[in-house]
Amino acid sequence: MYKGGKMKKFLVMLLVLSLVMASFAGCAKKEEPVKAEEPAKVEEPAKAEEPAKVEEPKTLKITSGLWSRPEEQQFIREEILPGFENEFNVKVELEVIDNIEKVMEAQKASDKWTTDVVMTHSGKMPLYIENEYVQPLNDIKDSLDVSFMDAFESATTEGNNTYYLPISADVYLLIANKKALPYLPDGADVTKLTWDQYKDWAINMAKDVGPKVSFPLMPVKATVYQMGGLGLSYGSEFPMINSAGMVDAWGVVGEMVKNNAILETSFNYSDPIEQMKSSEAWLSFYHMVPVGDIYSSAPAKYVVAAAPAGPNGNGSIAGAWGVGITAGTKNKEAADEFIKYLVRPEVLYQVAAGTGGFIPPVEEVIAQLGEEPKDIIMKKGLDTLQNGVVSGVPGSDYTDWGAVKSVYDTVFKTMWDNNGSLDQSFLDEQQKALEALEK
Amino acid sequence: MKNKFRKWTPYFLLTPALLYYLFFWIRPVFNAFIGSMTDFDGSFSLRFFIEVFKEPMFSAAFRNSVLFALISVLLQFSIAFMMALLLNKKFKGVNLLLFIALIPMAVPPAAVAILWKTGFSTFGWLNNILITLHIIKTPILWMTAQGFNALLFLILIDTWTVLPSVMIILLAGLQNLNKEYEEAGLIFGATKWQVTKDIVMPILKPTIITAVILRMIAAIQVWMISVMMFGYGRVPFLVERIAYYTDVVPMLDESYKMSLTYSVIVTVIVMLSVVLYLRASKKSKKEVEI
Amino acid sequence: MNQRSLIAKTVFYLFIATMIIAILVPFFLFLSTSVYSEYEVYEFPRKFIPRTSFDLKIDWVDDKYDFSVFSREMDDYELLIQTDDLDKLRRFLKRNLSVQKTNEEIDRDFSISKNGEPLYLTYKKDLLYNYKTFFSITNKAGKAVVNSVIAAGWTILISLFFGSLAGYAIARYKFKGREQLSLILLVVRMFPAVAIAIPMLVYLLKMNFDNTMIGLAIVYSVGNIALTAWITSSIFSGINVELEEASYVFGATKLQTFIKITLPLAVPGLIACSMYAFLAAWNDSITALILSNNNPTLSLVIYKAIGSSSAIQLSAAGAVILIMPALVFTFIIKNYINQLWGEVKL
Repeated sequence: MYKGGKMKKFLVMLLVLSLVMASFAGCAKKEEPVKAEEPAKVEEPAKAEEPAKVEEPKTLKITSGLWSRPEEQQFIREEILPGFENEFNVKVELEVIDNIEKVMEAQKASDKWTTDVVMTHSGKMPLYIENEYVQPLNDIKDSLDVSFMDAFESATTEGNNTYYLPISADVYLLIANKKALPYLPDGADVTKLTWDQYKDWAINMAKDVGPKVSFPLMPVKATVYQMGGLGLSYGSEFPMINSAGMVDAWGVVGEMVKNNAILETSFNYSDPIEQMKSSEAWLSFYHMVPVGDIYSSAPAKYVVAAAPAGPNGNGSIAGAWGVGITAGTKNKEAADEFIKYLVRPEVLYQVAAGTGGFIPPVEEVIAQLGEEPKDIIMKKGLDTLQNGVVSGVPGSDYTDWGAVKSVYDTVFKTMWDNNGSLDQSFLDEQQKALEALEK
Repeated sequence: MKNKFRKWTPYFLLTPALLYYLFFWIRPVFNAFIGSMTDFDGSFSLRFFIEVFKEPMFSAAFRNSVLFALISVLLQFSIAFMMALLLNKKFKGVNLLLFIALIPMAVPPAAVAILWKTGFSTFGWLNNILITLHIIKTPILWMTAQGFNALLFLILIDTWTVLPSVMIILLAGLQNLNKEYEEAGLIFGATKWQVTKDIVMPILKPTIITAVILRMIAAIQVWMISVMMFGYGRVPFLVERIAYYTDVVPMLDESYKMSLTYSVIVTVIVMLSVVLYLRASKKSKKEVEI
Repeated sequence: MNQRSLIAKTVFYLFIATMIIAILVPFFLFLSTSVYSEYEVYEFPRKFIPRTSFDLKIDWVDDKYDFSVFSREMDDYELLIQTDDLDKLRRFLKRNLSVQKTNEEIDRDFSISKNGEPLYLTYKKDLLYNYKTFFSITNKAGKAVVNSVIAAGWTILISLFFGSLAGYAIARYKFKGREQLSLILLVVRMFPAVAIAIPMLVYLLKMNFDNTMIGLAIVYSVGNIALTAWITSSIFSGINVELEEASYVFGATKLQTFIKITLPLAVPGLIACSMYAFLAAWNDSITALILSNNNPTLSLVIYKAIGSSSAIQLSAAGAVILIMPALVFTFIIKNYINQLWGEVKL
């Protein structure tokens, strides 16, 4: 019996197998680093207009948090990017993901920069600038001759350097199904509502057909922003919870809760799209992108207006998206050209109209707005931005903005459970919790 | 020579797996355990455990995790066992039935969420069916469920997703079962039920234990389905709290520590449950010797 | 006796029927959602068979087209949009009703209503619109599929190899620490991966396994090796030792016995394990997002494309694309679980 010999055979087989696996691993590893360093791709001469070019077109990679909806990505890919690609002989790769920070962090940590251009939300810009994910764009800005709204300067600049150019701005708007119009309180004009009238409107509907207001309350999403807009209308400083103005704001919503005007299913949603489109809800005050989505699904069914007003004006939280260049990009010239291309008024208008209906924060584009549905959304938004009481998101003043959102969720849920009432001591307590989160 | 190899063989066989774990898993877990008991300044401290116990959502999370595990394991095991018995028989179409039974397993978690959210929303397909069949007149607001109802809701969805994977293990075990034992029992006058109870189940014990333990471990750690359906905090679970601290509020000083602490608590609970279950099943194991 | 077996039969069929309904109904509804146009998603009550066309009413009013669609809910035409811009109409038809028409076709068809009479016409819907949109968004789908297959393949290999060896050792040998070991291997699953996901991945990143399929497989296998070991140990211990000993008596070595007798008997269990391994690798998107963002698997591609969209019908289409291969795999594999080994006698 050669038992010993057979055991040896077995071990040898084990060894061979491991070697084979390791060699595959090695092959796989070798392939990838080559790919990462050479973003240049050899294209078939499909872009036939170019006379014989000796250099292969480079690839510009854009990583964006903007245009998260597939229709928007499709639009950008099919109707915006080809213009740039043809003019500059650069292939563009657009990647849209939710959590860009992790990707940026990984690129910075490993110093393997595969992203060239990045689109960031204004709330995150200070973080990106501080962590050196992006580089200054001063020369680009100076060479341009479009004028940007200065509402977002504090986010896009640091010291004397500009790191981002804002290409879209957003505010909160009111949207109503036309079926709700008969329930407006006497004398109210839906294009110029006050929050008091909004509240009465909601209660009128509740009394007749049941709750019809969508107030998306999914935890850690947008409760803070909806309440924030309300608070601004009543003179509160965002994001204070217990100021006199904010107490009034809580009161307005509390009345609606008490009279069963707000849909309980709102707790399940992070935007009013499903409730409005299915007609479960007829009224909402929300971010203009979902509002634009709802509106353009059937413009004849809805009315869009600027944010309702309180004693202090039309309040809304405002944000912006900006385009920047990564610190370690290998395609600086192509990236420069892309940014300049994107902010051309005619291009930017197309982008704004074809995607969520953002406000293009460029004066020359604003001058071109017409009467189409998306234009209307943009104009209302602009109205709020220019004439209302707006505030950005002071995310970088707090250790964790998610925790701030959680505090608002707690307050709202407590108010809901107490049938619309809140007492001052509770609010003071929550304000303390909020202040504990400040940096 | 032969004896020496005999003695070392098992260790040879196990070494690859153990090395694998040493490299890729034991290190971070070990660090996690240490980390949960270390204060910010590096000194030994149990303060994070105290903070966790004092958290408003801790008792709800604990209760939900335990209840969920108990109910879902019982429910899923029973149904999966019946399904496995069924699919073990030879009859026309059993292969097709098996395929159908496996479908939920092929659906990725994100798709499961879409499937059930669109089903249970006010104007979703479940209400759609019920109204079309005239069972109800106005839509039922499934998604406003709170507390225990919400928990049952999640158990239902989880069961749909998980049944095939439990059933497979049991089925694989049944396939190995020598038919002759069953036949012997039947010859000696036992009923089908008695055969199942006294012959099949004991032989299947190792497989059953495997299936139940695996489900227990997974069930105590459920979280994703709760977050996808209801968002954070509405139906808290222990691991849902971990996800909260790592994904929702990651920047707080204590976030990482809290998630480690919760992880340690979960691991302890899981280990206890498994040990208790094994003890209980070992007691009856001694009686079964074929 | 007959009554008893009648009841038994009824229960039997009832059980089967419930099973089929409970599994297939949600699944088919999901499939039909993937073919809905945006408009249909919000109709209520919906017909379960998706629309194939839309009945439209076009009116020329105030220099604009009043565009209405026949709504089953209201049993009347519902006014959706009023515009004279052909581009806007084309985009509206495409995005909301999944109807593909060119500007010229719209112009030619709609301008009939300019004579003062409302125009009624029917447009066919493009049933595969969601899938087409999906592919226009994801331009690396082909490569991603290959990646998914490779990652899944490696996961199966690694998990089965390491796992079954360990499982065999636990089942057959008595050695020090055997009782504790089987439990220890399972401990891997007891610690919530969510908490240590990042440190584990950073470790792999440093070792340059980022953007490789084998790197992904390593992460996926962590849980699966233990699972395989556990399952195979119980399967192996269910396989009669006497069978193996008989084979030794006939002159086979341990290895030959393992390969020719034990392993084939354990195939159902191994198949089950490979199914878990495959699905773990195939369906993951989170690990892939962090570890292999630039060389994505199919589920990551779909996750990125659909992600935070509220367009349910597009998400459903993406999910169906992801499910199909997994279903095919399951279909092929299930035969091996169901093989009966009735001929093996003691």
